[in-house]
Amino acid sequence: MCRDARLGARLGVLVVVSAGLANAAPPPPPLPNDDVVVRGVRPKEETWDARFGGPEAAGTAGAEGDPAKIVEDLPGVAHASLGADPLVLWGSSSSDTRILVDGVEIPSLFHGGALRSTIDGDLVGALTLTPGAYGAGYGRALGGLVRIDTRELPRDGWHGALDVNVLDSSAWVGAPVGERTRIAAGGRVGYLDRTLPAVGVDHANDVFPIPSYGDYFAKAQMDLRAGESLDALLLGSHDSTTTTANEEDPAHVLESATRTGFERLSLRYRRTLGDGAHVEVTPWVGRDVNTYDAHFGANPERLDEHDVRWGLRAEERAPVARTVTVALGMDATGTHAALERRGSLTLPPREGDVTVFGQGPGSDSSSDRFDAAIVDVAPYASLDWALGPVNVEPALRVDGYLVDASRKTPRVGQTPSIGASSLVAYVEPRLSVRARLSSRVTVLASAGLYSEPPAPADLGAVFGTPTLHASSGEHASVGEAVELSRTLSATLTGFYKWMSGLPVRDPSAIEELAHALVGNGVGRSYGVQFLLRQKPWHGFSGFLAYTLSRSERRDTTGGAFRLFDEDEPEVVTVAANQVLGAYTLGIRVRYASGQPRTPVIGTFYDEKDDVTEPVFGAQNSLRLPAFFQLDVRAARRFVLPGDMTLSVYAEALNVIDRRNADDYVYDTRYARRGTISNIPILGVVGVRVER
Amino acid sequence: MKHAVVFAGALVLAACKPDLAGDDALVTSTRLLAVRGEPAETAPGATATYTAFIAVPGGDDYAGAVRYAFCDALKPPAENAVVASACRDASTLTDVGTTNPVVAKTPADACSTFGPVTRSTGFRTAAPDETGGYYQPLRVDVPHVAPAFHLARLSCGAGQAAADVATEFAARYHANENPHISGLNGTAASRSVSLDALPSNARVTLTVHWAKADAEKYVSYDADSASLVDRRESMQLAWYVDGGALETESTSVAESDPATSSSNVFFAPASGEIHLWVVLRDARGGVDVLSRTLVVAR
Repeated sequence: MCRDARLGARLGVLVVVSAGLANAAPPPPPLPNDDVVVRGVRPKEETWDARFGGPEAAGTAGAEGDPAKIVEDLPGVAHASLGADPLVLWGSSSSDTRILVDGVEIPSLFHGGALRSTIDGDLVGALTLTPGAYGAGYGRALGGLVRIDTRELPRDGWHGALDVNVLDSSAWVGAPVGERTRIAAGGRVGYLDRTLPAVGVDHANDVFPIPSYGDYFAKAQMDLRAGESLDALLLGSHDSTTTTANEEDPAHVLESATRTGFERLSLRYRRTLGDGAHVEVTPWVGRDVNTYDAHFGANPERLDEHDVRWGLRAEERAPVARTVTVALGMDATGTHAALERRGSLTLPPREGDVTVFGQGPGSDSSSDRFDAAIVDVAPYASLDWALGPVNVEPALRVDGYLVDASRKTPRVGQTPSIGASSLVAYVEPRLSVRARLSSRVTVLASAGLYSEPPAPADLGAVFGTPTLHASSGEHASVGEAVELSRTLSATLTGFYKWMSGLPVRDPSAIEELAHALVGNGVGRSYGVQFLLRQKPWHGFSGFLAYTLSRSERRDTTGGAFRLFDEDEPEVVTVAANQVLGAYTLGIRVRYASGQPRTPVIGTFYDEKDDVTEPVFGAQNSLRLPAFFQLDVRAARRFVLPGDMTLSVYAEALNVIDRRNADDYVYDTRYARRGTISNIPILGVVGVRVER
Repeated sequence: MKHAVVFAGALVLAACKPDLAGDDALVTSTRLLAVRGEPAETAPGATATYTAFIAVPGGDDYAGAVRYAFCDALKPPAENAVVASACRDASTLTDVGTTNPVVAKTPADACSTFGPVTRSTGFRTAAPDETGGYYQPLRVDVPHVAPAFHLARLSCGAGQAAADVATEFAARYHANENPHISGLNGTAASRSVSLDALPSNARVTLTVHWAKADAEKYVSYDADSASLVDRRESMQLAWYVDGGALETESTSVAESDPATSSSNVFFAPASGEIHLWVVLRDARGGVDVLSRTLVVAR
């Protein structure tokens, strides 16, 4: 009792103390040595977590040296089409997955086209993918989690790296400053959008625009008292694309420009107490930008969203008895968005829209300008109770969502705006049971309730619904982990998800005012995943990931289920690396079922716009051909004077030059169908110098 | 596509569409090219004459059946199409006639079904197109040809504008009128050529002309600024032939471009008579059609 009360009191004051640390805290006593490592009772990994160290992930064939790209190979993850966000986890849309860097939410893991991650590979200490059924410390996601732990900055002199390859260049440098402080900073600049025209590649942007991208980071770590540290992290990323097609004919010209980006500034206070308790507090602020400006002939389309974001994570995890560990925490975020939209109600496409690649928007034109705010405050608690070989972890999280939109109805003349506001709490119990059947076999089962707030862009009175509520979900999974040897392990996991209240378009011909979206969508996905993983052993490492699943959606109450737009029944990845002296060789093989598409079974002629329009058959009743790709990687490492190394690396993607179909495309009269192919055989070479 | 190891540029080289381009301008079977309403814009309850322009290879007049029907179904905003999918269902159609041309009365409730007039409080009204226009769908069926929809422009006012703006709109708005093609001429090798004696295998530039007044000025309600904006019609041309080849199927003149002509290149065959059709459309749905036989000398 006494101990529990102390936990709560500590948590209660942590927020205040951490906010004042920089100015109010007295100088810490000198540290006895440089070996200060913050240790505590860390949250356990679930059986279905896939956790990779940054260097190991970066060295995987096909990752192009970018550790975050390994997520596309892991079990539970669908293969993404070229240019799409590859974070479809356990049959959920990529927008349903949260990405956290040291506990700070960022809006996207990848730059446009998923060529690169938005987090510099040299900053990645480890990456953990949890496709679902995660613990109470996290929320706001019906999908899964991607958590990146940034690297601990070196204490032994300066370090840095310079990496130059055909896609981009990056560099970072870090060094200790004084006894207790370490700093590092780095950045990356992509130039593919400029080098392609320079080497004579015309019409590069016809199908998938190549982004102009860049990102940067700065990190400082300060040791306070023994077992206590304070980190500051600055992250930034930006992308932009421009596309022009059919420019000779103004009536059919297609022009588009996009700009996305984010910035984050966070502090992370960590302290390990003498009793083994661990305290972590992370306040952060940031901003996101997402703009899209296009013209389809005379029809303009525009989305302009600027968000101010903030958040606070605070958690104390401590043993309260020999067999019981308690975690108490607070996870709060806020998004304050200013939005402008113009164009057809059917753009941008949503999951469930029946359309074909390249189909233009309708000629209807609407516009809206509004503000939206979403604040989520989520206290949570969990208890880890060891009962011999069994650990039982009941947990409870309560997400309280304040959703506010500045206009409840569309603008009519100069009518003053009347806002819409709602405050709804979602009580989300979660339970995890882990049983260690032997020294090598562990069985784990988890289940819980989850929720996710609406996107700010969906809260407009014209293009969305200001009174939209959060969606909710139920996750359940059961798995077994077997340690076949010290370095070889296998995990098998079955999962089931049910999602309800998903925002879908109102199918009514005569819809209520300010109800373009309705929360009537339902989804379900289920399947099994398998991961066989060899950690480094005599220079060999690798994994085999297999997922068998089915994901469906229902858009109307009482309607029939259909396939999820990105449903892929089977996804297989085999990756292997072998270190041979100064050489490293790698190979990756991927297979994935084709995604569903809706067939075109007829046409009609839009005489006013001189356009042939498709007539569709049963939704998602057709599949793209299966995807198969073989990638190889080779690297040679040279030792240079001054503790420096030089690495020369080369990757060849799709070495068998298979024409994988990314989508179906039709001629202008829908008389002939072809496929857009993914990458052909593609080489990426680069040089890296590091210390 | 090159089958060789290339660097990152290949990403884009391969991620391209297959070449599915057909010759959309070549008329090889009976084809509905356009439908013209006269007048080009009507108020609910008013009468208009609709004419379907149907091309037949060889330039013969079309003598088959044409069926006209108004569609009464409002397109759900969720559907990415110009008309409701229900308009393909006979139950939503109101027959207008089977003659060509046909005279039809615009439905009295057109502005509440397809326009900005609120049918019931608390429900969304139709969104206008970029010119501020609202349209009554008119289905046109020609045997063995995909169904076509003509969008008959409605005079419905300024939609969701404030009362003073709506009053100003009513005073200033000029209902759409059909444009008229005033001429067609050809040049080859920078010299004027007779369309009745085109050089064999020549590259002939065909130019269609219209009067300056045909690209009409009009006012449109801009919901962004909640005010009226002065605009001018852009012009779009669709070109068709039943022989030889055209450089492009369509050309256009942008709203900001004061040009009163538009050109296309015709690649003449060795000899023979070729039929040419040109459809001139203004941005608000007005139409004119030119039909002309081109003679290529041996």
